[in-house]
Amino acid sequence: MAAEHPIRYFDHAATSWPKPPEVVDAMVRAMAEAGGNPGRGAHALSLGAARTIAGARSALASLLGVPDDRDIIFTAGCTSAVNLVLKGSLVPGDRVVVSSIEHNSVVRPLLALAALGIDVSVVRADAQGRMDADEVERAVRARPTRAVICQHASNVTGAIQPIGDLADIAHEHGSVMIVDGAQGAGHVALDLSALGADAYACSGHKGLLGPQGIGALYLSPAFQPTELVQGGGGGDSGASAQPSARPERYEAGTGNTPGAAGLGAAARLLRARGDEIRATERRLTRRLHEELLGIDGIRVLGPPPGEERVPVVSVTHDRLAPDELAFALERRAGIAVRAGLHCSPWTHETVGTAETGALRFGLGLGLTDDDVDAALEAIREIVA
Amino acid sequence: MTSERALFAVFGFDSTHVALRAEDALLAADLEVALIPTPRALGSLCGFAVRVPAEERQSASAVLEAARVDVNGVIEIEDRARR
Repeated sequence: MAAEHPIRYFDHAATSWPKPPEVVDAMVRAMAEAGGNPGRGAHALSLGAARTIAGARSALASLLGVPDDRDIIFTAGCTSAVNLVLKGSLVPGDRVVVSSIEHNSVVRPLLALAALGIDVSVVRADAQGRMDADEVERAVRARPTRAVICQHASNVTGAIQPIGDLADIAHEHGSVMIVDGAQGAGHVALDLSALGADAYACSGHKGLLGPQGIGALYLSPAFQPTELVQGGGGGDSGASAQPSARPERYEAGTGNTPGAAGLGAAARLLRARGDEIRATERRLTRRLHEELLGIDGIRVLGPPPGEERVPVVSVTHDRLAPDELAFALERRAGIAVRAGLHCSPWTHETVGTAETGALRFGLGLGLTDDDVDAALEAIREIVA
Repeated sequence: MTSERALFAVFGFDSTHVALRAEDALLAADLEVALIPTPRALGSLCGFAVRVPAEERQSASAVLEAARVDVNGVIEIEDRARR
């Protein structure tokens, strides 16, 4: 059935869409013109693929403020990156301090590690989903801690966490700082050389505007988790051990060349236009947030207007369930949103919406004031 | 039929990433560079190596050192297949 309305896409926090034409073009070019196996041979198609990946790594490092691009590891996504750093660096007996607002991409691997003897201490965020650095410090000071783990920004509340302060606390106590940057990268201007994170996991397909199936992990030069996957890399084939050099150590197997091409093109776009894109996102997000607060029965989760947040606005209604609202928004006005727990049951428990879930508007590149007007008009009609 | 065979210096690297950085540095220095399948004599290094004319071996080494590109090995070869 053809859509009755043009799509008004408010699900950028899950996956950004539409992709910039530069991203699509770069991926098509990679498959058509650089379709060999990267790093495995010296013929033109193989070299083209290797150069595509190297160029993407360099562009992403430049965007994220990483001086040596070998410290950027390409992964299958943010979840893979988080798994790599957690499972590659924690051993039974280690203790970690983690926020109560983590996504399942952190919660599930951590709980799997807890079953193997890793001590997981949870520090509760406030009812708006914000972490208090003093409470984290108290937790870290209490007992020797291997790692402090916190998201950069919430996919439910939009709250931006004080990562710089948490990194200082971690380092003062001999811990490493591990950050899930799924909602941060792209939506927050980043300088990883200054932020203090020892590991920062990125999703390629959200705020970074790249394709699905690729993400990246920044590892500080001194932080050396064990690789989770061993295998071929095109280098030192005679050695039985996995190479120790970055990035090959962590990238066994054939790389995702089209994905890297797309992510590299997106990184170059964000280098050029990131400030402008973020300014528009913030303005539209604040407008949506403030006007939703004026609708009877609507509760907006997270920090109040005026406080920094990534372009995420989640709401509940006192009568209608999030799933009902989501279905009606699409039927009435072609508005694509996400209802439910957003793979973040810990967050919903922290902010008091574990039973109901919430309706999330995730804003991003391509949305306009007209889209925000349409979303507000539709929700006013639905709840009237 | 005989012909004079060219001599080349071939630099090997630990990884593709480093080999491509080497190529960039040598091209920026206007050296005549080709990426070639790594000769077995260089061991089992990354899948391709960087070739320059043998007479440019010293200048290439200097460029790579200045660019802080780690070279894993260097050999000289004849172009027996006229590559």
